[in-house]
Amino acid sequence: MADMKAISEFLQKGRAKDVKELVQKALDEGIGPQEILEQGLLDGMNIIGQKFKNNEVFVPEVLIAARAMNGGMEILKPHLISANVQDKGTVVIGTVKGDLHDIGKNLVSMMMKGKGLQVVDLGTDVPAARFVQEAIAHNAKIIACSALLTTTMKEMEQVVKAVDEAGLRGKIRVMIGGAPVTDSFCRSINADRYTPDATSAAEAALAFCQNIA
Amino acid sequence: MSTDSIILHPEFIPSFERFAHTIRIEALDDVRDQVEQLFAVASERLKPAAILRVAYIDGFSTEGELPAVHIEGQDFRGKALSVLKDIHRVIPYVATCGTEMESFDLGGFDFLAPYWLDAIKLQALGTARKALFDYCRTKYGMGKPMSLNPGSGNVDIWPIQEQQKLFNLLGETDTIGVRLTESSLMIPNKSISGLIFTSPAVDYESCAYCERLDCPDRRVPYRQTL
Repeated sequence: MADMKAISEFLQKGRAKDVKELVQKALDEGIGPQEILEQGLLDGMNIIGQKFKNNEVFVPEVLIAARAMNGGMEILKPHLISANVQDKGTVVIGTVKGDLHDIGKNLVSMMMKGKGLQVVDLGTDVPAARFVQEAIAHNAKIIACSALLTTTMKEMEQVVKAVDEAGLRGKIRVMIGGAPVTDSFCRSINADRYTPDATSAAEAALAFCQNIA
Repeated sequence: MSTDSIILHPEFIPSFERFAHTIRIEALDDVRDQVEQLFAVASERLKPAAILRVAYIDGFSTEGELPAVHIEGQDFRGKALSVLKDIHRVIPYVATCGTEMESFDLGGFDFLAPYWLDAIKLQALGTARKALFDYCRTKYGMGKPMSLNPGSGNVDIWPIQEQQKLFNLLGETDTIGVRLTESSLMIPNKSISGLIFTSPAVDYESCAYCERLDCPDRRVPYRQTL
């Protein structure tokens, strides 16, 4: 019989091939896609996220775990759609204009997916207006901005202003992060939330989407 | 290019073992062929390089509470520059992994391939950095070369905006393929820049002043003050 704990454990080890096989087996045995998602894939990513936050694992372990999750999701996604399982909210994420760093942003994206959120990744060097356009197009509840340079973090203020100018303040939350970013900077530009690491960002995004933040 | 700039092109012999550990290859058995293919291509193509020259410090001052160093027409400001107070000679430099994989199409590869490529590029950068420091030891008699890097460590140590002045000291860094964006970002991404110096009275490592205490790449323990 398919074992959700085994899916979670293989995912934590980054064993994409084994995760895919077990997800398929679970489906074949009639286990519901939502149960596989919640108790297998998301459980595994949650554990990796916590270990990452506690410095028990590092970036390479998160990357291979996310790859295994993607593998499982490839198989599961059509079944989730058929079963009309709703995602938990949409986040538009990107690295701000002038900045080409993407590893931190990608980690946040992976962790958010690991919370069951839909993530639209705009890549790097993203102008403020595009964040807003894409958030509207995808009905996103959150814009998440990353910057790794002191020269580019000021672009985050432009994103906040663009959200204000579009009249979306309160409807779309702006989250910010990156090495030079701090909580006081977040307050100074009136962004909604700063988080210091990928796991916290994913937790905050989920909380926003569930309207408990 | 300045007449006295020197360009180094060290031989690149990457370690597959180190690469395999970095990317956690034990979990990638389903894409092992891709991993090996990318390693082979990048190993063959990447040509790490460094550009450097000797420069002399014209003056040192303190503006407000911020140390300022004047080097051949360029004025640098930042807390970290206090270590240059009694120094007369520095080696401005830029080192890079090489540009040869910048336009390589990773389209048919696994979604983790950009990270695998970065891991190889990091080894190439390490090769360039080692060649640079070895050159400073043997050519300039620097027993223990140390490096100040704009943008490295906490933001107020030596702001990244100073990068352009450093590039001005070197002249045309695009001879090794490195260019600076408006936001002071170097391209290729695996490039470093700075001022090499040596001093028996100083033990400087920018990593020591970064407040990310749990960083897995930390080289030395945290120090609160310079």
